[in-house]
Amino acid sequence: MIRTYASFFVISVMTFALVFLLVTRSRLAHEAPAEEIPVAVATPDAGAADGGLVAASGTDGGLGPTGDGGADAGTRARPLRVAALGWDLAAPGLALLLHAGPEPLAPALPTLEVAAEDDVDGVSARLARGGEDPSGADVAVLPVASFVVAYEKLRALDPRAVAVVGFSRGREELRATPGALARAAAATEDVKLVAVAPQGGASPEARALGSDGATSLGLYVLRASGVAPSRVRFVAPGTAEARTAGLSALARGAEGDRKLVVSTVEASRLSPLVLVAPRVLLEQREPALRDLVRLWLDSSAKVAKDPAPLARTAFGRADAGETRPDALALLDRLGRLDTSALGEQGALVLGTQPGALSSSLPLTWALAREAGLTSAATPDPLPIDPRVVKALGAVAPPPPEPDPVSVDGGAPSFGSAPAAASALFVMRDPGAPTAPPKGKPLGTAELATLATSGTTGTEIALAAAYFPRASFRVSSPLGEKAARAFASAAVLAGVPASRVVVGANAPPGVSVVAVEVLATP
Amino acid sequence: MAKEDQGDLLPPAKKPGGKKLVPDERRPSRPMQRLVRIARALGILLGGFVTLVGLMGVVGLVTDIFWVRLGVAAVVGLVVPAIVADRLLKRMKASGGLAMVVDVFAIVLLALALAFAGLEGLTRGLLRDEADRYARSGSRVMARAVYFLAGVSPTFPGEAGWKGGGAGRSVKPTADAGAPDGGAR
Repeated sequence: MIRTYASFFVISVMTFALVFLLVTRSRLAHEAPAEEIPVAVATPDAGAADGGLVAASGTDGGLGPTGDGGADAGTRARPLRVAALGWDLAAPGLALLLHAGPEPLAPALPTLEVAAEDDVDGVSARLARGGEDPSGADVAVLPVASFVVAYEKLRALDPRAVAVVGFSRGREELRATPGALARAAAATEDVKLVAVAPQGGASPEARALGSDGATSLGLYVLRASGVAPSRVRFVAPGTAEARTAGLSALARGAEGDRKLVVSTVEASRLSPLVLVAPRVLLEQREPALRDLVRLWLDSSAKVAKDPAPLARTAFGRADAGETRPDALALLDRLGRLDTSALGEQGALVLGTQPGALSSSLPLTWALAREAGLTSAATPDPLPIDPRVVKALGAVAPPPPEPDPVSVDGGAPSFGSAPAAASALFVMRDPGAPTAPPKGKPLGTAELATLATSGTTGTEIALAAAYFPRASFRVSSPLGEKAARAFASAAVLAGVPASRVVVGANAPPGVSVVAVEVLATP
Repeated sequence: MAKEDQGDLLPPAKKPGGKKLVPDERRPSRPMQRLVRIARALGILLGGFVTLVGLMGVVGLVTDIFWVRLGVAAVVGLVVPAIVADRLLKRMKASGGLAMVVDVFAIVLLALALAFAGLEGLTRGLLRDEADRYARSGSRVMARAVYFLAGVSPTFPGEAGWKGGGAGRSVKPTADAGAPDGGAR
């Protein structure tokens, strides 16, 4: 019995001592590392010795020794680190790793690491840390709208868009209550738009409902409809005010109360996804970036063709309690991305036609700045670096030959509205044409001057590039002749005549010209 | 002989003039027995956990592979108290039985745990690295527990004050995605 009491006493004292030691010890602040999702690699020996921290072993491609890994770290090349905004944008990189063999990925790109971040701040933080840091990144993949928002903080790095690796198609939506868009255009006061904005102060959960791309879509459509971005007041999703707001620009599936007006299903070229690299990296590691762009675009096409192996291998099941990203959610998001081919890089990065980076980047920037999403003016020159795609053989396409039509309405052969076509929204006085004096009928020459007094043709051409399947019904309260003149200006700006329809009656609230964006059923 | 054997099995005979000894009076009271059992269980659980994590941290100096760390730590954490218990049982000629073995396990595991907790200068980095492995593998609850043992106040990705880059996850390829390299999921 004495032994029982003695051991009880000893065990109790030791237990209390242990608890006391653990509870009262001083605590140092520490940043826990980000979660790493292991991806299976089809190599028999890659990383097996130390738990597999390197994608593909190989010779040093000039990137320096790795900072992590095991005892043989010094013999391995530092991987080129890529941070993507979301797993779907990271998918081509993951697929590359899945299919990597023991040999280097490419002569100048021996190894690769891919990280996905939930928000643009995370991607920015990784870029700011740089690729030397295992929790940093050399290169980022993100939508143009996010690049614009992040640029201000990263300006010191001089980040540049190197390639267009895809387009968002259906991930962003603009929704409105009935008549809200027309009312917003007619009003003069601020317009409430439920969307996320950097200064919005929304909770992380609310921020997850939107995206920079969705906000940009909303601003573009509102501006085209006659609502200047400076009049837009952002309302954080999930708030009481958001429930009464007439317009929302959020991610797909974020809400269902308001009617869908337009999404990036229709505006499938409005939100390009760009690969961004700091200038120093471009100067020092251009061959590695060249290999990365080539492999990334190739892998994008493969993932788009058959995403199942990637989803099955690298992703898990949320309903089974796995912490890995859900495979079904990944497939859903991958289905809302368009890929971009290497052959398109010339037109997208080097080209000057509507829809190329040289036109969409300034527009996105102007929208963001006017709406207060960034205070940085559009950089001059634009943060686009063509050297990588040029080195890959891309060349700028020649300017497109406009269809034979003259601005004074001579020999036009415009298209006709598709059967059962419905107007997504109305562009009101796009390009701000000068309103003519009232009461005086205009002759052909005067109508031609009126049609080219603003940038209406260019605005329609831009919309035609963003909405590749849409037709555009041009109408004017000044009459059909005026409408034909504006339609001709659009054709001269590069819109195929078959996509331009001349309408007889202009919708209300328009002073000079209205352009209805018609969805093809 | 037969009488001696019988005597071993029966309660001791009443000594003349002495108090009658019955088995219930020789043992601690029922509440006390319960308390002793709880103390043993607590000692084994707490000491075992700290010892296991500490030993995994030690093995982690050599390898990051979770199953190797767990296996080696579990074997060491079982073998050491088992040897001590074996020696004690031999010395005491097997008296004490299972209760003594349990006591020895609790005391040895608590002693090892106290060593890990007490040698703060040596073990803080060890335990912090071990917790980092759990954080990297996505097991935040386990990571928090081990950070607590390490005397570290962690900030995880996505929490206010984390400067490592948003609510991040990074992907690293492994030879076998099914075998976590950092720890339990």
